[in-house]
Amino acid sequence: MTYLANLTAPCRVPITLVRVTLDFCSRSFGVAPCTGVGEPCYNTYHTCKVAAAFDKSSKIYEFSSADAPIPWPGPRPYLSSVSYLPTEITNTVTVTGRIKIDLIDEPDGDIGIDPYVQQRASVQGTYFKKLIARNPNYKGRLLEIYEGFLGDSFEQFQLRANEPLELVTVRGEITTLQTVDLLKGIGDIEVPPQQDTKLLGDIAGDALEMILDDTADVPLLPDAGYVKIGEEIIQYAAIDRAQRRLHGCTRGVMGTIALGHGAKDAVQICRYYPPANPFDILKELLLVDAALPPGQVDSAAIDHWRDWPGGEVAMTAFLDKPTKLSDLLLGVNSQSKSLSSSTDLPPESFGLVDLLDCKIWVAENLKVTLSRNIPNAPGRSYRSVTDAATVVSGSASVDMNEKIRVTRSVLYWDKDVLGAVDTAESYVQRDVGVNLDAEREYAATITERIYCRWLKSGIMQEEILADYIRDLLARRLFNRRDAAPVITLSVELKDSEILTGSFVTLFTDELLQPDGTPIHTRAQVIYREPRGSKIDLKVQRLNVRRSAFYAPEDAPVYQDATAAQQEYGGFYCDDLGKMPNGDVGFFYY
Amino acid sequence: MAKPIILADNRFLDAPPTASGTAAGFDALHIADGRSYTFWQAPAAGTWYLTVQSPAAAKADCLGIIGHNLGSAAALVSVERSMDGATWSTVIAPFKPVNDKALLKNFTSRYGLYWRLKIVTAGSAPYLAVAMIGSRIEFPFPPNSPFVPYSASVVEESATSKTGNPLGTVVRYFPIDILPAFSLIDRVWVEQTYRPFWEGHARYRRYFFWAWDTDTYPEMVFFVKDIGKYDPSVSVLAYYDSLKLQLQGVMEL
Repeated sequence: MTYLANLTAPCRVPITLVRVTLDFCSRSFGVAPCTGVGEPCYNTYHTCKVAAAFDKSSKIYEFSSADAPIPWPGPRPYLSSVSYLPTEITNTVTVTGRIKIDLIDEPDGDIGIDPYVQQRASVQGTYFKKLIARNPNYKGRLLEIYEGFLGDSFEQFQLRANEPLELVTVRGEITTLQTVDLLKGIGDIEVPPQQDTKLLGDIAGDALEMILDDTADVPLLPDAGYVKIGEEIIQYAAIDRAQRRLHGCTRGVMGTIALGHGAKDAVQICRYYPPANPFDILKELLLVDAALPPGQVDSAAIDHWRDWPGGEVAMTAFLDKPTKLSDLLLGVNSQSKSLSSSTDLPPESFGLVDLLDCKIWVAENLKVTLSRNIPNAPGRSYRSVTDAATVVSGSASVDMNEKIRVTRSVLYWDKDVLGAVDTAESYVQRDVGVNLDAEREYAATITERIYCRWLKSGIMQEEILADYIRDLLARRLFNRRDAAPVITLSVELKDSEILTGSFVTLFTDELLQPDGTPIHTRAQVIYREPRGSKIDLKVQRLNVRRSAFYAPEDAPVYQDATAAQQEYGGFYCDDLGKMPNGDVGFFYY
Repeated sequence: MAKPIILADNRFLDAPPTASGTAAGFDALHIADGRSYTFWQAPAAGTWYLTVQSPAAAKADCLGIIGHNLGSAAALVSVERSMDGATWSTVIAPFKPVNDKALLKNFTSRYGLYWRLKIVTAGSAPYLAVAMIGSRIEFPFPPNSPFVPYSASVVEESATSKTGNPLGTVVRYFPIDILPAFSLIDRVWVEQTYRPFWEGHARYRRYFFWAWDTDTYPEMVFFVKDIGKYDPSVSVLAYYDSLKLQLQGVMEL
C-alpha cells in the first residue's frame, strides 16, 4: 500500500523512524595507518587515540516506535515519542518550536556499536549514555524523522524532518533529542551584529579615513558600508582589513552632522537596506542576515506574493544599533487588550511581514514560507472539515477572538535615522485610518498605534506612497472589522495532511448562523500539533467579506458558479452588499 | 499430546557465537543477546552456519528461534553437533519453517562441544534475532483445565467524529498473557528443575520460549517473560499444591 492509502485506511499500524547520523572512523584500531595501541577506541573522534589517522565517515543509528513492531531488521524500538511542538501562525507573530524526541535507554552490550566489543574485559552502561559519552560533540549532526506504516519499505516512509541535532538531555531512562527551529534562531540574531570596535586615534570632522583599534571586530565589517560614531553616520567606500583602516569616508550622511571624534570612541557598524521591493528585502533578511540555507526558505512563495497584483512601494531602513531580526521581520506586537468604550492599545512596531499584510511561518516541510492575508484567491483549494467526517468527538471549542478588532489605526512612519523606534517623536509622518461603521456598531473606539521604520518619504512619488498607506490602513481595518473566531479541534491521522497555513471549509455546529443552523465557512489552519494518532488544529475563520478579482469572461452568475469560480469574486451584489443567496459581497483589495 | 516446555538454556551463551557470513551491522553476537529486535543477517542467500564452541561438552535437546524470515525465505534449517569441530552429526534434520513466527523444535538430548545452526536459502538472505539451542524444561503434565493458551489484547486508539462516525483506528501492538497453573506438582521437580530456572533466569525477567503443546499446536510458541512471583504453595509433603506462572509477551504479526 502507498503511504496515502495507509493513511486513509480505516485501520493501520503507524511507525515512526528516527535516524541519527554521527561521525565514525572508517579505520580499524591498531591497523595501519592507525597506530593505536592498548585499549581500543570506539571509532569516534572523541575516543580516538591517533587523531592524525582518524578518517571521518559516518554511521547511522536507527530507532523505531517502541509501541509498534519493528518495520525491518535494523532499527531499535527505543522511540517513546516525537513531539513536534506546534506550528502556529497568528496575525503578527509566528511561534514555532523544536522537535523533541524521547528515546528509551536500556543496558546494552555494545554489539554492533563497539567494533571491539569482544576485546573488552567488560561491557557495561546504557545505550544512549554510552553513545553520548563517545560522541559528546553531536551538535549539528543530522537527525531525520520518517513516518510510515507496518508493511511499508523504507522507500515508502515519508521524511518529516531533516534537521541538525541541537541538544541531548538524559533523565533517568529517557534520553531526549532536540532540534532547533528556524524562526526561533532568528530571534537570536541581531542586525547589525553586536561588536566592540573603537577608534584608534582622534579624527577631525572632515577626515576621509579612520583607523580602528586592535580590538575591532574587523571580520564583521562589510567591504563597504556605514558606521556610527557618536551622533554621526559615516559612509565608507572600502576597508583595509589588515590595517583596520576605513577608506573613502563620506561624513555626516543620512542627515547627520560631521563632527570630530576622539580616540576610543565607539564605532558601531550600521545596516542599511536601500529602497527595494519589500519582498526582496524580506528574502535578504532571511537569506543574508539570518544566513538561512536557500533550501530552508520558500523563495518561490515569497516571489509569488511579490509578483501578485497589489503594488508594494519601495521600502528602506537604516539600523544604527543591533536590532533583533525577529523584530525587523515580525515586529513587536501589542499585548492583550480589552474592549471598553475607548481603548488605546499599547503601541507596536510594524515588522515587514505586517506591513506586507502577510503571515510567515515555518511550514511542516521546514521551510520558512509566507502568504498574504487574502480572504479568497483564485485557484486556492480547500479541504473539507466537518463535524460528521473530520472533527474528533469532544475535541472542539471556540475562542471568539474579539481581540483582533480595531476601529482606528494610527501609523507613524518616516523615522528619523537616529530616533528610537518605539517613540512617536522619532517619526516625521503620521496617518490615521478610521472605520466609522465599526465604531458605530461597537459603540466604542479601539485605537492601535503602529511605529513603522520601513516606510520613508522622499524615495518615491509622494502620491504613490500616500495611496499605499491609505490602502494599507484600509486593509488592516477591513481585516480587523469583526472578530475572527478560532475553532480548536482535533482530527484523526487520516487528516494529517491538513497543514499549517492551509485552507479548509468548515461545517460545524460549534458556531451557528443567526437562524441557528451550523456555519459553513472558510477558514485557515493557524495551529497544528500532532499528538499521537490525532492532530490538534486551530482554524481561524476567514473574513466573510471577500476580495474581488477579475473573473474569466465566461464566468457564470453567482448562484450558478462553483466554489472555485466564486473564489474570483467580482460578482455584482445587491443594494445591501449581499449576493443572491445572502452571502456577503466582494470588495476591492 | 506433548507437555508444556520452556527453553531458556542456550549453548550460544556458552561462548560468543560466530557466523560463516554476516551482513554489515548484523553481528552474529546478536542471536544470543536475548533481544528480539537485534539481528544477525547473512550477506546473501546461500548456506550459512551459526556456530558456538562450548568450554566443555554440553547437552541440548531443543531449538528455539524468533524474529526471523526463515519461512518466507523458504530456508532449510538444521542443527548439528560435533566433539572436534571437524566431524559433524545432525541432531535436527533439515526442515522448512512454515512461517516467520517463533518456532521450537525438540530433538533427542545429545552432548556436543560444538553446536551449529545451519541455514540454507536460495533466494534471499536469512536473518534471525534470537536463536537458542539448549536443554528444555518439560513440565510433568499439562496445565490445569480450563487452560487459555493465550489471552491477546489490543493496544489501539480509535476516534469517532462529533456525530459518531468512525474516523480511524491506529493499532499499536497485541500484548498476550498466558497464565498456566499446575496443581499437585511433584516437589522434587519443582525444586530441582523449575526453581533453578526461576532463580537463574525468570526472576531477572529474562525472556524464554514457551510452548504448551508442540505436538498438537506447534504454531503456539511464544517468547515471553514471567512477570509473576515464585510462590508455590505447599500442604502435601510430596507435592506443591500449586505452581502458577504469569507469562507476558507480544503477539507476532
